[in-house]
Amino acid sequence: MTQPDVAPDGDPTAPGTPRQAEPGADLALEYWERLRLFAARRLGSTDGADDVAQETLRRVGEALAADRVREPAALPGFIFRTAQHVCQQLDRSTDREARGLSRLAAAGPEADPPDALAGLIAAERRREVRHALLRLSGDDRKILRQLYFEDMEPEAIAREWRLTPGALRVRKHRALKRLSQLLDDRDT
Amino acid sequence: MPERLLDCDEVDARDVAAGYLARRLTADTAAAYEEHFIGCGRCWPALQRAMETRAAFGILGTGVNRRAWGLAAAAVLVVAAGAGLWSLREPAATIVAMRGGTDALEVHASAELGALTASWSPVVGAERYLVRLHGAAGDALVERETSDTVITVAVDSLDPALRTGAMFWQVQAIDRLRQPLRRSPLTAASPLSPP
Repeated sequence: MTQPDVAPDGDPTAPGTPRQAEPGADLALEYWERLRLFAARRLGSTDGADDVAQETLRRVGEALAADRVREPAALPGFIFRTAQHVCQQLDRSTDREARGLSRLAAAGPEADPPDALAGLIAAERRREVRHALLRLSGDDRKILRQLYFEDMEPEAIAREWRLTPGALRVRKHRALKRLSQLLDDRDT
Repeated sequence: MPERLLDCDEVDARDVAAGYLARRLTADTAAAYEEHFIGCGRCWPALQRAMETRAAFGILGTGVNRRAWGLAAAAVLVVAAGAGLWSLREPAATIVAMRGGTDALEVHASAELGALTASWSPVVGAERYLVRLHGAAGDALVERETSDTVITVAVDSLDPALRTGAMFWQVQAIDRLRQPLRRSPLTAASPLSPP
């Protein structure tokens, strides 16, 4: 980890001194959404995902301040293991039976249960992506739907399209690239 | 700890992201992938895009994701089977006060000129505010992050099917390390003015 810049006279508060790096804040910016996803999938719900992310970042921040993670390359693995522990603790400290029964009561036999990970994507963003998907070619849209929504095995998709697995991957990458271009155009 | 590590090429070749979202991976492979994407600048954006695509198809009404229903039903059975063992577990370490601060952040909501507005007083120490506009079912309609203490959402930007239902604001003040300082209770967004 690089040392923060300091003014020649050693006074970090001197005018013109470059602002010291705030590793904790940078950490939060970089890992926040990744931790929310990890937690939502582990917990099976978006409830608590923010809590896990916040608690994980707090503990990692403390470890960094105490110089317990010295190699930058080791940081992602440390964050992962910390998040695992936090999820396990949250799971044990929450009344799982009550949550399971309340989900059953809410869902019912006919209702489609909510996808915990989809809950991480705000409705506003879902609509943006939906509009972009509708602007793809029918074939591109179908491949993405089969892969990411219908949960078909890639081998089965390749057989249906009479493609090799490698050729399917190429089609997938092209479709995703076009989708990204449409979304980037919309975002700018 | 995962038994092995994945690299980007393997993630791509095996369509691991799709398998992860579909819950097709073994527990070890899922854990290996999680450890990988948490620190990967290539695979994380790819997973984000896959998630958004999956969520967007969910509102295109192109079919039921039956796998999710089956997993939810199985989860209930697991909980019921484990209920008898619950009392035998040792008390687990609890995470104290994980939810941010007190619910003492008051949000003022208004609606006029085709827009919904939420405002609040600045919170000492807050770097930014996480703002969510929830629908009646609890789903997040809008999710924003701002350093300001007011936010406005154009009604036209919301899904037409959701514009007339109940909506609620929730604001959380966070510090620069994203630790929660205060959180508002759910505050009803004002009913829309008639045209």
